[in-house]
Amino acid sequence: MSVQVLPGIDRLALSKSTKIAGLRVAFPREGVAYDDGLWLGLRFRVEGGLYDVFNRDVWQSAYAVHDNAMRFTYRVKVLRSGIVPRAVAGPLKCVRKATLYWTRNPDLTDDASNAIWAMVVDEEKVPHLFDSEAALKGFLFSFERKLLVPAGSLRMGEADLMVRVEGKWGRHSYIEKGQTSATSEPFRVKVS
Amino acid sequence: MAQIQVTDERGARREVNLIRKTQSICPECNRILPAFIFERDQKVYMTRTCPEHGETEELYYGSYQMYLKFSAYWSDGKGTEAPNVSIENCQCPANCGLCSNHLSHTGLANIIVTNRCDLTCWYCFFYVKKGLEGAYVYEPTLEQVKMMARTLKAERPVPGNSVQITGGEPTLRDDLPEIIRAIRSEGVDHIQLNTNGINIALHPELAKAYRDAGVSNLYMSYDGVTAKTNPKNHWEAPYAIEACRKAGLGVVLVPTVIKSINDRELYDIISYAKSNIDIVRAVNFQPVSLTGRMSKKDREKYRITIPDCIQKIEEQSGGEVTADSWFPVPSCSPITHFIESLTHKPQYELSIHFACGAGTYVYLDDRGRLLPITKFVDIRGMLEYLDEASEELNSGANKWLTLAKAARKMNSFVDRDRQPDGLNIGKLLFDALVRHDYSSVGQFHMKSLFLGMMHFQDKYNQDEERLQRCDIHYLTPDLRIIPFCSFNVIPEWYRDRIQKKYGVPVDEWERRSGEKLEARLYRGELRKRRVGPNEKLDPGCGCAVMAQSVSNA
Repeated sequence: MSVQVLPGIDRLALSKSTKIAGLRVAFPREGVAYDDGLWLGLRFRVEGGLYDVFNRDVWQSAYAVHDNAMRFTYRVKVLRSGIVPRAVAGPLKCVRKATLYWTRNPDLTDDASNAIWAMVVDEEKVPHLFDSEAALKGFLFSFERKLLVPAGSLRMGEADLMVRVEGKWGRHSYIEKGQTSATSEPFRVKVS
Repeated sequence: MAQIQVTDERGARREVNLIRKTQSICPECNRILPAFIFERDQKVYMTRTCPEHGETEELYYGSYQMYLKFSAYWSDGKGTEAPNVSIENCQCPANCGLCSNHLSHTGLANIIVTNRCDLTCWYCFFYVKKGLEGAYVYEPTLEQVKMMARTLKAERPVPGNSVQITGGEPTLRDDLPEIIRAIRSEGVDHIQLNTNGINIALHPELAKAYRDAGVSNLYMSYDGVTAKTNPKNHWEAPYAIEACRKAGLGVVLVPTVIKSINDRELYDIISYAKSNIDIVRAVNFQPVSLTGRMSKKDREKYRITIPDCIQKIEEQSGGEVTADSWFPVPSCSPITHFIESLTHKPQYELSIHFACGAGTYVYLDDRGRLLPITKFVDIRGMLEYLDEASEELNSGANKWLTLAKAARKMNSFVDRDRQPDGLNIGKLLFDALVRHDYSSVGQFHMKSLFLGMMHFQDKYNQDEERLQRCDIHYLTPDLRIIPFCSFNVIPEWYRDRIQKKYGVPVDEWERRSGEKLEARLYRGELRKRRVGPNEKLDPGCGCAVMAQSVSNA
């Protein structure tokens, strides 16, 4: 159905101000054998408009216009640095979702005007419940993943790599559709 | 995970993992109480404490893993814009009607046409019991039935379109064909008839009469495949099914599952449905609701939940119908949302709580085995894709390009090597989702069965989060629409009060009708039937089955 717009919200500005921040990659400093896989630890956050607008007050208004789910889709690629960076792994597509629902938890609500709460379903389709907005948003917009790059897709010797994350979200009553991306600092991995 | 303390079976306090908090009622006094849903030993329980009557703990869901998996599909619905109870008067569950806080439109509306029954099952609280003080017969008039159906059609944004005629035993009403026609005349497209099948077995011509009047299918009790597990209609069901076969009237078998009574026959029931797959469309298992006062020991003896039934079916079928074949009812929401995004119109949605129901489809292959649809269709991937496609459409993507992509994509979810011969699921999905053409669904049903689970609540496991999302409702002569799990779980507020108000005392009914209440009781006539010496019977028909059983006895 058509997306209804919540009044008093500059949806486009919120979308444009959303960014991926704090992108860090952990990698084995001692190197990796050619036959083994290269495990990378990825961390990043979503900050800005989407983070700010997805709050409890907006949940009540969004729910009232049946805007009940927010999907954040992100793609992760591992690139070999160069004049034209080339992908050596990925894109790995992941979806994290927040579902708004009417709660009957007496600790969270005392009347119908603030009865809407959110549940987070992570990339592995595991649901997560929280009893504070801060904890919920902290989980929803913070990401930690392990990535496996087959070492065989790298050449022997030293490989200069980067990780690129591209995130996107759809049009909602409280934010316009948008996308953002970030690339990590290059890092060097020894393949022997 | 947060921890709470509960009292264990030895009376000691013990810490357990809290999953969520909700509201429930005291089984003794109906007081609304905060309730805790928690995990223990990989099962899910509910507990609450009444200041007057103490703590009540009950098994809520038999598998913590399935609870987690199914809860990921949570999806609240649009409710109804024309509630009979305004928000100021909402006191859930004390003032149902529907109220403005109800979160599901009516998916299936029950109309009780009589509280008379031709059986007297000891565990049943529905039927009129002559001799009890204040006993009454409740039978709405034709005009009242029409008004109830009209109330259903007046729901917005999604008018109700599915009615179940129920009772008591509705076939005791001689004017049932008129009732069916009256409901149809109000624009209701789907009518199912809830029955024990006995009258249809006795009078097979009724099947055609009901079909011609407008019944879409029978919803027939069938609690087991032996006389011990199904004393209700073990002998009569084959006759009823045969009558429906001849009339072209589909049948849904409905076993009430009770642990330690018939839970060992779940796959046998499915096998019986399979042997009648030409006319049986589905088996809808209903784990028992424990009404009335019952000790915790008895509740533990009889209580069974959806995950328990699903697990038993996997075991009893030797892995033919696996537990991972099942999905919770609200998992259909991506399909609804996709169609809404295409049409910009609110659509029928199944937005009940994930713990209320589950289902799967099984297809009969050439070797006579039942193949769950999940073995050749990536249902999860398809639902995820539809979620994404809806988001793209809502974000302004071109409708025709999205449709073209969807048309190409549908086939990618089908494993053609494992798909049964002659079945083209990709085309069926495309026709249904993209072209809104459901003609091939009928063809699919010729060799498939829908297997469903629907667990109605009782006072011991009542969760107001489930009640608020209930989409199986009752229509009442005072033109309210009341959710099943308040109508029947708190009958003193709803069912009994309403029916008594609109009913007449038994002796007055007998005077008006010229008939004694007990005149229509079933006295086992079919069980006493003997086959005549020159009578020829079709080998598969109920009479032949009965005759063979009698001669073997």
